[in-house]
Amino acid sequence: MAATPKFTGASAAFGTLPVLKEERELGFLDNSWINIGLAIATWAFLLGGSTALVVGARDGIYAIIIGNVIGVSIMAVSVCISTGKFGIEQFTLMRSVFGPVGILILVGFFLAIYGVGWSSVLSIMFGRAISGVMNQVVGTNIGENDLGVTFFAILAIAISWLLLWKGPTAVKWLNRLVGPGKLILCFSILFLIFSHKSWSDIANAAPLAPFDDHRLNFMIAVEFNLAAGFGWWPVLGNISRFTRTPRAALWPNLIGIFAAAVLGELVGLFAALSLGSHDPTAWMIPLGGAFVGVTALLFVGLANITAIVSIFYGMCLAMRQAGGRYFEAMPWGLLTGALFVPVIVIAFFPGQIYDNFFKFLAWTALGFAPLSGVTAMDYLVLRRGRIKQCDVFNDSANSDYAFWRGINPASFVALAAGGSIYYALFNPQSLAAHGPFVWVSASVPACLVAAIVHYVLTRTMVMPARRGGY
Amino acid sequence: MTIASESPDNEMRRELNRRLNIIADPSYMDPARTDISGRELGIWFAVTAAILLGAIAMWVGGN
Repeated sequence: MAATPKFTGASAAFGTLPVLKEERELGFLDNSWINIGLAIATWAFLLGGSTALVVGARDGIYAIIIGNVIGVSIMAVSVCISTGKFGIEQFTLMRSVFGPVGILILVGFFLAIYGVGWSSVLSIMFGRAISGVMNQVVGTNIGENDLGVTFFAILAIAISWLLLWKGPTAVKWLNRLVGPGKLILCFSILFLIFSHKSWSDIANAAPLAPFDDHRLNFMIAVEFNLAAGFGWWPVLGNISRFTRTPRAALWPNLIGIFAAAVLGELVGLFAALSLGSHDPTAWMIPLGGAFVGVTALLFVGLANITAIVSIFYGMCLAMRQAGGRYFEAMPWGLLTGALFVPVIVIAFFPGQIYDNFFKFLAWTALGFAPLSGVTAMDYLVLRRGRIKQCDVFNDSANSDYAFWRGINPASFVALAAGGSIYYALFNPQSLAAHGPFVWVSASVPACLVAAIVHYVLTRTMVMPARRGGY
Repeated sequence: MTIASESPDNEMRRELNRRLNIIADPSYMDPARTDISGRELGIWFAVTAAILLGAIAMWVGGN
């Protein structure tokens, strides 16, 4: 028997190879716990707070459940089943849908916006949390949009970059503290809310900034939560590739991502309605007093650092993977540092970004809902779960997935069609709704239209041309 | 990413080929590589649809 060659490749690049049976470390429970840790995070508080802008507690509970269950059910089948089966890094596997150049465009443009946007929101949240600590402990008077917030946001970016540069093992240690701490924080906030207010107080609290139309408010709240569900698309595939069975790849999304996110968002919803602010950094001191509040704010800051590193680690890995020879020569520290530059620029506009978080959320749904539709249709219906693994790693023109000059136009036209439908129904910038939005939302039709267009174009254009290996 | 690079013989490419050969071996058994059954997918959508319909029914009832 030949000796196993000693592989010494860089760990980041190593992470893109197909995993073997002995490397699959996640059973059903392991994957559930990871998903719970991901879902219960400070962003869940922000999402709950954003829901409270337009609806009260009762409508908010249903909007959070409805939006998340639709988003997670479609998103999970669109990425987790395929990556779980083949054990291949998500964006490498997606070459079978978009082509090798196509995935580079997708990662370089869309994923960069997503990563930079989320990191900006989280770093500004860190800035506001630490400013709150300074105001309480040192007696400073830093306003929520002052330069002090920007300074601390840049500090968060610098710490995140150092952690990312030195490698993800540093974050693993931080997560051992932050993971259980997030659960404790969640239940502590719930306890503090209900020790100050009764359920009827919270249930009768008015939404923070609603529109005049009750039905429109409810559907906008559903839309925010659809965005949250579909928004897991770029994250979960690279976790489920390490699962041991198809069941372990799929069902933990319902237990972890759906149920845990609903819990975290409900905490955010109730806190926002009780305290009259959608900003989680404004809740802690009024709720817990000086000591508990400052401790909670420090923890929120720490949790945000780990979240920024997690987002950027996945993004940089995907960029290096998708970028092929363009990015392979770039040192890891330089690549990660370069991607943090736009986050630093955005940190100078904390009010415009952080307080308009829900608009960013709606913009991400415009992209991820169609992406989920296209990838689910491609893998489950058009390919029936069959992908030629050798060709996924093959950059040459004779690869099944070379399509036309490395791009599959059908999938991009489908994405554009889905995105256009979304925009026609719901403007993410102005939140203006049109047509049947109040009945069907924007994400669901965008997802369905993208899936159908991809199916029709593949059947009528790609398959007759004998491209794509269908 | 060195796997996809034009260099035909590098460490990453050799490791990739080793892994692809292992996976392509008909005797290689990995439970994760079995296809998810249509029944299980059906149950998945039935459960999520039940949660969805339950929430919609409660919302409609409350309004």
